[in-house]
Amino acid sequence: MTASVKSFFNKFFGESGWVKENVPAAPYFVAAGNPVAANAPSYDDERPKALNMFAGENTGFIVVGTSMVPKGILNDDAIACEKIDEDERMDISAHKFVVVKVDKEWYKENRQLATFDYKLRYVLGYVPVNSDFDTFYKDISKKEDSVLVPSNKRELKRKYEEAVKYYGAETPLILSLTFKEGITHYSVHPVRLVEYEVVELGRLQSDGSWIKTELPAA
Amino acid sequence: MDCVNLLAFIQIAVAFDFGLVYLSNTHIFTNILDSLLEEMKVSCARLIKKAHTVCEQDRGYKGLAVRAKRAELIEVINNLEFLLDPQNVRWDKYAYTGIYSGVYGLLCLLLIGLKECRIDEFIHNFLLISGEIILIYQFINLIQLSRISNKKISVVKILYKGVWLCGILGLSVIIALTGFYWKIFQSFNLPFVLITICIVYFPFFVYAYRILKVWYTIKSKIRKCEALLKELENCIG
Repeated sequence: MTASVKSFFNKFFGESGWVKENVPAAPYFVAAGNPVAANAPSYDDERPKALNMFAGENTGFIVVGTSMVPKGILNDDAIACEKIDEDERMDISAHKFVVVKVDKEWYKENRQLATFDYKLRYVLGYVPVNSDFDTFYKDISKKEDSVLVPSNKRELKRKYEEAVKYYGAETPLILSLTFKEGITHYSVHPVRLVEYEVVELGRLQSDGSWIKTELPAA
Repeated sequence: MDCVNLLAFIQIAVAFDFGLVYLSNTHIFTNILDSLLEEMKVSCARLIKKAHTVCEQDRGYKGLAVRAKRAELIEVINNLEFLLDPQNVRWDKYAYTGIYSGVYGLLCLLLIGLKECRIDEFIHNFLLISGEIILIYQFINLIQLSRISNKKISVVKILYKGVWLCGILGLSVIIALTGFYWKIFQSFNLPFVLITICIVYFPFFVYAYRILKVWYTIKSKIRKCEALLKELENCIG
């Protein structure tokens, strides 16, 4: 009953039928920010050709969205990423850019359609297993200034509780951030979903060429 | 009151309404907001630069109050920079209000011109019923504008909505023909004029409101940024 009411409400007031395009993004695009709200580029998009500039075995992605602009990664940037092995997953250092696999099941349960397979995040640190929010907050507030802003603390608490409830208190989780209209947004993901670490950055120039640039510092 | 006098008002609005469907980055209406943003960007460039410098200098301070103030200031600057960037302004979803009003405006132009709006009881009823339906749709649109994301919307999808609306208007024809409706207004002229003006100028009001809202939001962010900068400077002496 609740589901049908929700579905009826979404028909009129939700995104479906208004802006949602059900076309999935090609796997070489990474959403900077929300994989639901970002525009999925078409498969015939020319930008992925730029990924050839990264030599070696690194995986390349084109960034879609402006949610990492405050951290120095722009819309249309190309990134080269190193695969994170199973045994390296608990050694990801803070202030690194990572590519996280989108948990489509989670979005499905929240009645949203994520059109991207991957999303770009900026790591802040691990969430202690079987802990409580206050202990976690005390620990993270020593290292990260943004959580000291009262509205951000509320957002962090909400995200923490949501993730712990969904994935369970025993699942190793990682805290990362992104920006929505320049305002900090936190994400708490299971560590197993973190697949790549960003190691190189390429930027589109005004003349249409691409050049490698420095990865923004923390 | 003779409805024919309305024609001139409707004609101007209809052109504006359909223009919203093709509100690309080069459109004159988007240029107005872009120019406003550019002007505001120049006016607060010094403030943003100063805020960045102070935030960078204060990195060494470990006091909780300074850290919190700095974080809040960084948050406001990031938000301000986002708001000031014309590339982040998208008009796609406004096209829906444009197409709904445009279709109704066109319908009025045709029917008023055709019958001079005096003779036919059926046309009176049809215009009122379809106007009321579109007015409801526009209010749903208004709620949607603040709720939905800024995704790109293809013109095909918007035009599809226009075709779908024509289907709804077809339903109004049936309602008007069968008389299966509850008459809200007893007279025709005054309600019709008011409804029509509301509908055809609705996108214009929404467009003007958006520009004012952007201006006000940026102004309040600038004030907040100045206050935080002052507080931060006081904190570190």
